[in-house]
Order: sequence, then C-alpha cells, then structure tokens
Amino acid sequence: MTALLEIEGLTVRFGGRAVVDDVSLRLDAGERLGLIGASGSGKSLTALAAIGLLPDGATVSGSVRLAGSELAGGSDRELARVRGSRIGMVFQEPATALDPLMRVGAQIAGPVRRLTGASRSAAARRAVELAATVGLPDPEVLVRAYPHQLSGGQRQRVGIAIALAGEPDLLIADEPTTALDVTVQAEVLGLLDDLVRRRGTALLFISHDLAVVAQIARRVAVLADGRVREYGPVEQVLHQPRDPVTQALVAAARRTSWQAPAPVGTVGQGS
Amino acid sequence: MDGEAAGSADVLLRAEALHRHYPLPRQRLLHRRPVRHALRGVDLELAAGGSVGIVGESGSGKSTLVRLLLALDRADAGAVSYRGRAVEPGPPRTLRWFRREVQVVLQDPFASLDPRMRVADIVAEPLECLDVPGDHAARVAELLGAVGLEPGPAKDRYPHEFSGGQRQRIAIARALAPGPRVLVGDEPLSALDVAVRGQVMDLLRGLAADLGLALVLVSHDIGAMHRLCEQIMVLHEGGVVERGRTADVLAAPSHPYTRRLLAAVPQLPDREQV
Repeated sequence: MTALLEIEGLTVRFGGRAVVDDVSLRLDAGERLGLIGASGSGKSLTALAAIGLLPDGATVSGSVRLAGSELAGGSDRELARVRGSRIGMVFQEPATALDPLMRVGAQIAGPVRRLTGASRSAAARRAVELAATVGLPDPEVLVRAYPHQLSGGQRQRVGIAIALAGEPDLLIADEPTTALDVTVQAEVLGLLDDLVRRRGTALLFISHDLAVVAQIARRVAVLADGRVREYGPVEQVLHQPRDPVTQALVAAARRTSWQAPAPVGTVGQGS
Repeated sequence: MDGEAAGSADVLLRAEALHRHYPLPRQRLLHRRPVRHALRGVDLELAAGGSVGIVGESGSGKSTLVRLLLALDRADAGAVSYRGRAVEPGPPRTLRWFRREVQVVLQDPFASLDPRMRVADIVAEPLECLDVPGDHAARVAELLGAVGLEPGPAKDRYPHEFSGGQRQRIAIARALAPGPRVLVGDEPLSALDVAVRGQVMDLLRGLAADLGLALVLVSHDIGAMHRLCEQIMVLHEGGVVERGRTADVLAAPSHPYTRRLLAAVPQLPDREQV
C-alpha cells in the first residue's frame, strides 16, 4: 500500500548547518503520528519542509511523497495546489495566523473558493457549515465577527475550519493547543480527535508535550538536533524508551507533570 | 510547616478582600461604561517559608492579583500588607523596603532581561537601586553560583548568549540579589522546555529550602503547583473558588470548576492502561 505521506532522507540546511538531518517518516491514510521534540529539535521545520513552506535560505534534499507523487523540489505553483487541498495546516498561535482585518467567515470562505471552485455564495454557506463543524457557537452570526472578538479557543477553531476548507487528506497541526488554556486545550484536542476520526483524515501532530501527544497520536517520532531518535507506538516509546534522548524526555515529563490519582476523564468528550 | 492555620504568627504577605475592576470602552452613547471585575474579594496569606500557588486560566484575575501583590497597581477595595505594613504603589523611594523583601521572576526570560546589559550588571542592578550595602561583585558571583551558573564565564556575557533555561536562572539570581524573603513567580516555568522546566523547578525548590524563601507561584501548570506549593488557591472569574493544601485539593477537588480544570490536564498513560 502506498503511504499517504512518505518522507525519506529529508535534510534541511541553513548555511552549512543541518537543522533537519536525514529524517524519514511514514504516514498512512487516516493515521495519526505525533512529532515530539524540544524547541530547536527541527520538528516544525520538518513539517514546513514537507509542504514547501521553508523560509528563504534553506536548502532541502531528500524526498517527500504525497500519495506517491514527489513534492520535494516542486514549483511554488504545484505546492500551492497541494497545500490546502491535500494538506491542511493548523498553527500554534491563532491570533497571528488569522487576518485581523477580515471577518472570520471570509477567511474560511476564501480557501473554500480557491480550492473547490465554489461560487461566492456557496463558499459563504460552506463557511457557516465549517464553522458549525468545528463547534463554533451560533455560526451564522459568528462568521461576521473579526478575530479579536473571539476567544483564543474560538480563534483556533477558526484556524481548524480554514485547514479543513479544501477537504484535505492530511492535517498538519503544529503545537495547535500550546497557546491555549488547559480546559480549552482539552476541548480543541477533543475536536481534532473527533474530526480526524469521522473524516478519516490523517494527522501529523507536532508538540513538545508528551502527555498531549499521547492523547491524540498512536505512533510518535522523537526528534532531537534534527534527527529522529526514536520512532514507534506511543506506549512503547513512553514505557520502554530506548534512546537516551527519549528516556530523558519521558523522565522530565513524568517529573514535571501532575498525574491524576484516579483515572479522570481523558480528552474532553466534547463534539 | 502546616500553613493551614490562618492568621498564625509569622505571616509575611497578606491580601485582604482585594477588589479591582476596569472600565471597558463605552458600547453605547449615553450608557454607562461596562465594567470588568478582574478581582472580586480575594484574600491571601503567605507565611514565612510557606508556598502558595495561584492557579487559574486566562481572565481568572491572576495577573491582576500579582500586580496588586507587587504594588504595581492599586486595589479599588481591600489592602495588601507585608508584615503588617501597608503596601501601596508609589514613588520607587517609598517602596525600597518592600522591594528588598519581595521580588519577582517573570514568565519570559527573553523579555525580562535587558539585552544590552552584561549579566553581572543585570544581577547587580537591584543591589544598586535598592541601596543594598556590601561588596556587590562578590554578591553577584555568589548569586550566579547559587543558581547553577559559573560566575567567571557568565558575568561578562550578554543575555542572548544564554539558553532559555540559563536566562531564567539569571532572572532568578537577579530576584534573589537583595536577599528577599518572598519570591513571586509569574508563570516562571511556562516558557521553558520540559527538561529545562524540571531543572528550574528543582532549583526553585532547593533555593526555597536553603534560603527559607516563601514562594507565591502563579501558573496554569498543575504540575508546577504540585511540586512547588504547599497551599493552592484556584482562581476563576476573579474569585477564589477553592483553596487548601495542594495535596488535598488535587486529590479531592470540591468545586466543579476545579474538577473541570483537573480533568482537562493531559495525562501520561499509565503502565496499567497499556
């Protein structure tokens, strides 16, 4: 079976320095993979390289195949077509990812039109549907709001609606809940969990937080200094980490986190 | 040790019935400006050598509370006192005594250190501003050592030459410079990677124990509360919904909001669940 996303020997250099170093990952359709690492480990750059969004000055080698077709070295035009329609992106800080001067409905409808060729009115209707899909309250009214009128959690829901606009096969979420309060984080994780399950979307979830990744992903890759140090099922990596970097990461997570005495609810069950 | 006995002998920092509201922009002409109640009657008591964690989410009022506790803002009602002496915002001169006793470590060590100052000058600044007597150079070396930095190489360098964790150590050294008895941490661990967070947590614990520091820790991080604070108060919409010994509150939260908050904390899967 062809993998949905297959990254092989991906290397990203700035100047002479490899910040992503020979990374290989595989993600099948509908699968969820967590990418874990400390800041500077190369996890975000791996994702950006996969969709051709690296900043200027980066040189990339290796291969990124989406459903068998090569993306690495593709023209901006080809990549722009893939972004949004095949791969949706959710970023960390919804306040900066959204245009402050544009109503949120228009920000959702824009990519709907561009990616599906829908008419202006059909796209506007679709924006309301998507707003409802991501659990925004009163979607007909809310699409007329500006980002600053929404809470952080609502803005991140808008970000997810935009990522879903082109009905992508793969969602890449880069620290999507890091900027959110813990109760809001639980709601947004619950939403992502539910959406990818119902739509069969594959998910590449990037985070520094082991506990968060463990809730949403089945397999994880641990990155340090641009290299994949360990790669396997969540349980195995958490309970029998083999690599010293992973062992240190797991130990630090256990030491700094609070574990509920009795099993409390895991990810919020919210729709 | 047990800080449960309210009003017990050696209370350092005390807040009583603090209220603070902010007028919001006028929504309609000829209508009263709406008001946001950031704090609605919050009490706090910090004993010498004690530790209180203030946990809450955005909008809970925790930043407002910190500003009031540090005399950076004036309450609309209620009062803050340190060992019985009123603490109110005013000219720096009138607050020197208080700043020598109560110091703060902020969230972002990238923003809280002046990029154009050398580390030795950063750490020495409160010594000078607060007229602390003694050999400042020796004190700076001692402080850098206490936070786990090598004074020799560190003191002549600039903040950008350090990692996030090291910068937070520098910020802690600066806060400790005047020999305070109370350290207020406003999300001091949130900007750090998990491995570094553990190290800085250990450092704060060690320092609190060695120096007999009392700690006020403001955070949304239950893990940090669990590790560092004997007492916890849960702030929600400007009011304290629950308070008590941290171990008790975390083990058996009584308020629905606390329960919701704790249920939302991501959990590492247990071995048993595998």
